Amino acid sequence: MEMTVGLEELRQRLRLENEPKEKIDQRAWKVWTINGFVSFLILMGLALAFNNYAVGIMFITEFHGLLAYAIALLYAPYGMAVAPWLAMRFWRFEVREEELETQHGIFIIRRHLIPMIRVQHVDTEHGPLMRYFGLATLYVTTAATRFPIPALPKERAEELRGEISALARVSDEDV
Amino acid sequence: MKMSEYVRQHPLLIVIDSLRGLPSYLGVAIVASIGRSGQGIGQMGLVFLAVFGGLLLLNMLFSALGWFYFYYRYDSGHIHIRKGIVFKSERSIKRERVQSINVYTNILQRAVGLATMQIKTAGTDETEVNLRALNLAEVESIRIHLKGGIDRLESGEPEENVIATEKLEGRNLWLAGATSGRFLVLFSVIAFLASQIFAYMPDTFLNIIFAELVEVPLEFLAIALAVLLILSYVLSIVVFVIQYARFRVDRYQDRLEIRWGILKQNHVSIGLHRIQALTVQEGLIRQPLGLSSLFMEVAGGGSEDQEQISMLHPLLPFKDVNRFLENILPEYEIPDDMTFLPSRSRIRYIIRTSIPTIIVAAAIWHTVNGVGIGFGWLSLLLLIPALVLALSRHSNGASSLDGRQLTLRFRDINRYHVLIKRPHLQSFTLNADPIQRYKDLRTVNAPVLSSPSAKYFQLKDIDAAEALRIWRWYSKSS
Repeated sequence: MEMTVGLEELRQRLRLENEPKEKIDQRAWKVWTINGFVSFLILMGLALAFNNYAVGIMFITEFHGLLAYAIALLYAPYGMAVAPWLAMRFWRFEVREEELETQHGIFIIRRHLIPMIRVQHVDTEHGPLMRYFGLATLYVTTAATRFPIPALPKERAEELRGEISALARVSDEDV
Repeated sequence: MKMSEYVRQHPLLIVIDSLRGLPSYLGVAIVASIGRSGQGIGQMGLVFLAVFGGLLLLNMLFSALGWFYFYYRYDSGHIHIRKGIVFKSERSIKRERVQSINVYTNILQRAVGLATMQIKTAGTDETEVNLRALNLAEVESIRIHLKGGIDRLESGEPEENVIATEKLEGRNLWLAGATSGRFLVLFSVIAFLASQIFAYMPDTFLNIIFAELVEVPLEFLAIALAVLLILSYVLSIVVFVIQYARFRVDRYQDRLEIRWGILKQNHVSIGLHRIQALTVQEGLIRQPLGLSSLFMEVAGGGSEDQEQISMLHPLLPFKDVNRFLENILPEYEIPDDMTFLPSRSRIRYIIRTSIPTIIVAAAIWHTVNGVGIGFGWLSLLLLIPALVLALSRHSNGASSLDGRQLTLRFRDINRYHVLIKRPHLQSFTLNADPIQRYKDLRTVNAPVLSSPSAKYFQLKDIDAAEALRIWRWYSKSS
């Protein structure tokens, strides 16, 4: 019992306080897992090429070749399970009348606060994989930075784009 | 309202433009003539003259055409430019869109009483007008028209007044030069040039030199090096003083006008609304003497002359900064007391600087021992300055909220106070890695506009409660 309380407390501490309300679409998980799998295949391919062509040249031994495979294999659980899980867990956003808040991260959590009057434009994008799952990424751009909100259902992304750009038009303070 | 006609710039522009290419033509001509060195000195001279003269003539022709097909016209609301030989282009700039008007004169222009006028608008370099040969009366006339001064004159309002003036004079100017730290740059440039000269010398000549050098006592070499250092130091001071002599800031109702320089005179005017943040920099050499310099982050404008435009004051005693700001930019102030970093973040600062230092030291140790000199462990002594720097970074890190102003203080090598008004903060970011989250620490990141691109000011490992306080201060909803 003691132990579980300790764990719960630790879990609380590792979270940032006052998380934004809205989560991104659960299908993002699949997209990221597939992306992780593709990255893993590329890494395996590189390791294979390294073993076939580079081992034996100068100081590169078979040990280095095995190391390359090990790195690719170790990446697999991270890229396909751990990273998508943590990213999914921490991705949050909240649109309010005066401002937009986003939070994301895998190990380092980043929390952004973007006032609506600083928003210059909003656009949506979707790559082939995102499109297959009916998802889109919303980009909110200020004069200084571009903030993404990935993996929103397409209709929700369109809706948010309209909403944010309507709110962004209100400007009372000068630049 | 009187409309002026389209006119050309001063014809001396042709001469100025032609002369600008002169050094490179000399170079090309010399190279071309060396190519003919087999055919005797007379042939060489002929080639030299032909190439040089030909290039100069071509350039004069292009300069003349450029001058002939460039017209400008201005009235009290606009400036219009019409240019192009084959592809004609016209551009009109509205007074309201003008972000800044800068005037520069170099020696050549001074000799003939002309100046360069640079009219900048927000956005890209494309929307910028450069008039490079105007006489001074014309410069003043355009400035008055674009500043709306003509309306004031016509409606009988008095000329606008300078609200406050600050100058850099006499002893302080020399002090600024002496503490600028530029001599190291100059020294390395001289050393680089010297090494280049060696590379181009014939081998036999080099051998003679080295044979001689072996004879020369070591003391002499040391003295020569010291003299070179001192010379470059003195030279750097003189260059600095010439560059920033007659430095002067004038505050008007809506803008700052900054002037400096003897040989190249600069006159920059910056609308107050373009100023996005102030940075008070205390250089490593200057901080022990209680000195600092002031920079501005200025939105809009082209990428060139970036450094010059952002300079607000080259040298100010740190304790005078607030008095200066009260005069020139009263909306900014260095706060009296700030919230320091919590002591639990000290260890993170120490780790952050020592790990790269240990890696470098280990690499040096390994290399030195590999060569077989020994004493490689001495490289670990690098950890001492690294540790001092880390502790200083931690103890200097601080933040403060003061009504509409956020102040961040931090050190890389120099110490900085960054003063940002809330409306100029483009967004606000908190970062926290798992250890920071466990220890209730945050890294804050404040982006502001600057030219040519945005700047991000960061303070690492501040107390989570302080970070939340800044977050709430910035948020409209809480």
